[in-house]
Amino acid sequence: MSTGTLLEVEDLSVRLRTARGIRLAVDHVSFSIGQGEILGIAGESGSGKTITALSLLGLLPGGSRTTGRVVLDGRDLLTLHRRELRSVRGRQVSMVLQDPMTSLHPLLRIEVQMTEHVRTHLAMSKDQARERALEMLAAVRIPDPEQALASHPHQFSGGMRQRIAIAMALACEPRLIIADEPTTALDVTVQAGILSLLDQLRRERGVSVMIITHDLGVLSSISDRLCVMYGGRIVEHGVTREVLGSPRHPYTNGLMQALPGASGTGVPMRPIGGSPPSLDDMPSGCSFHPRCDYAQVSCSSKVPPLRPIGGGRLLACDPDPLAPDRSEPSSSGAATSVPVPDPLAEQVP
Amino acid sequence: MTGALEQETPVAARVPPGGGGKGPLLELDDIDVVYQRRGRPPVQAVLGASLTLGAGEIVGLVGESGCGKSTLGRAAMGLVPLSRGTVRYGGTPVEPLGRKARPQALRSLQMVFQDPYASLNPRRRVGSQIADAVALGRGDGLKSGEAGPAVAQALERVGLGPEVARRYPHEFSGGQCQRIAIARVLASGPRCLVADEPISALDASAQAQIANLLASVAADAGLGLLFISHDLSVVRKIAERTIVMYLGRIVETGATDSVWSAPSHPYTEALIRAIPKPGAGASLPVELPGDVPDPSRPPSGCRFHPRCPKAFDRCPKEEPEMYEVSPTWRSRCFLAEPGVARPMTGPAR
Repeated sequence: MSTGTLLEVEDLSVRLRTARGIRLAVDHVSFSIGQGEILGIAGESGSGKTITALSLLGLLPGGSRTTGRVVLDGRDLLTLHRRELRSVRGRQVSMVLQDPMTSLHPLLRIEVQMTEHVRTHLAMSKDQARERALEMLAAVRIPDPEQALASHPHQFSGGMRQRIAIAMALACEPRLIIADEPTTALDVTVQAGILSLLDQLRRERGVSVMIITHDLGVLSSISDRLCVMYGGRIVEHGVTREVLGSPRHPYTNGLMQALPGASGTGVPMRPIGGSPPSLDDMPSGCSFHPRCDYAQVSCSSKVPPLRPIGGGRLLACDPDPLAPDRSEPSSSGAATSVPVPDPLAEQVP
Repeated sequence: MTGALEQETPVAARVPPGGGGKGPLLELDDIDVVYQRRGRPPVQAVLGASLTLGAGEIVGLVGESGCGKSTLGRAAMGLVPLSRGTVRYGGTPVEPLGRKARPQALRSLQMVFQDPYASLNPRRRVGSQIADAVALGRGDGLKSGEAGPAVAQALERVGLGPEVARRYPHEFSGGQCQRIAIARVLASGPRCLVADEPISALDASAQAQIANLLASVAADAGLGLLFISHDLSVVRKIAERTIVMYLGRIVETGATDSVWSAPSHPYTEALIRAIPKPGAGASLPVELPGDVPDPSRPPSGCRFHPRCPKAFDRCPKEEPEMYEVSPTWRSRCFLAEPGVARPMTGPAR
């Protein structure tokens, strides 16, 4: 796993200017990513997960304000000038977005797209950059790299396009790849390939990966540690296996219960009621309290702090109804405390 | 565009739809759908597909993108012309609209679309859109004052309050909009629904909510529901029967339980293995190598053989039929052919 910390995010807050005023989209978020580590950020729309990622690289829309510290290799990215930041983007940190059809330019051949940033950032000659591109395409297992360079994006399938987008992200040998829903637009069969590719890259090249998704199945198969975000805050943080194996926050628990794999055939899924809150309509106190089966009166007034609960885990829930030493809560037993999802694999002969 | 398919000429007599309980509600018999393309070879999107759907039955249709599952759904609705075969709904042929109105008997065959923001009109209040569907279902127009209670009732069936009727679609989250779209479809009094990826555009917690909602309204009202999804794990939760498609062909069909626990076709098995496993001790999902081939130039023999881990010498030479695994279970794989020695020693690659 990690040999040292690559990225340290401390007290990151982001205020966005919306049509209805200034809104706090990310609220005092802290986390770190080690070298060669895969950190998962889980959350639904409006949880602040994408805004967090964009703010790391100064890619937020105009009028937004970011505070806190984002330290990459000893340098605070939030204090850098635009020119310095530009060399960090692409060179040390690169992004892979959800839809490869929109992140690739439809009218340019792959060669043009894959060599331009390499020549800019690494001052390579045209031939060197082409060599690099071929190498990267081979690394992401594109069948015929020479042929691929001469092709346009529409000539590839969705999975191949996402591989090319990852090859582009790799070309400048970044230390960190931020992948925002990299497999959401893909079929499960293709998704499995992209996940094993990311895993291979971090093992062979020591790249760190921050993967953002609402799919806990994806995170449980690939991430070392994860942050669960809700309403702009981290509500639970720790080693993936432990957090998803025995969730402590009612929201994490609810997400696990809602997964189709959490119970047998024909047994209905147990979704969390209600919808994620919007920025304009953020509940007071713990922002999850209106949807929480275990909510108490105090939850609506006091924001629970993110506190250590042992084993390197962090939890932002004051009643902590899912603590292992506690018996079933008497107030509401709507959800069982610890789900043990059956692994799908054992069903396959 | 509206979700409820409109009819222009009012027809006085209401034809009892669905054939009054005898025989299947919806019946596709050996249909082909071929897309002609100018200057390029035609694409056989669906080839020799048959399926039946009874009242109160939920059938799941799964496969990767490009397998023809959406085309099959559209053919079932009469939205694409057939090259061969027939689609009948309660005994009435389902054909694409020409200049004529859609027959009255087809009114109770309705569709739920993937993206609720696209299927709802952004500039009209939710209530007036649902009132349209109420009027459509009655076929004889609506007196003023009648709409309100019917709209409120439709909203209640999907778990929304009557105040929603006064608001606009953009005020709601994706999951709530999909509820509204389903309320509108229900308001027209359907007997049979075709839902094309109704949850794939939604958030994690909303996916389970909407899948459960569709399953429960289908059960409560005795609707036939064809649930098209790339997500096999959700289909497993709600469908009694599962149909798996690959490259235009139905390759396996049977009771969801059987198909899930002991898939007979290697493609079904690959789909199940590719699903990321949530929870503790998870490992990387298994990748299915290769891409879905170009449907205008399908592989010889069994269409899946270039990607099949169990392929043997017979597979590229002839195309398998649908072999009976059990009376309710069929598979298009030579390994399921009765009375044929299975290549146990496996010349599989």
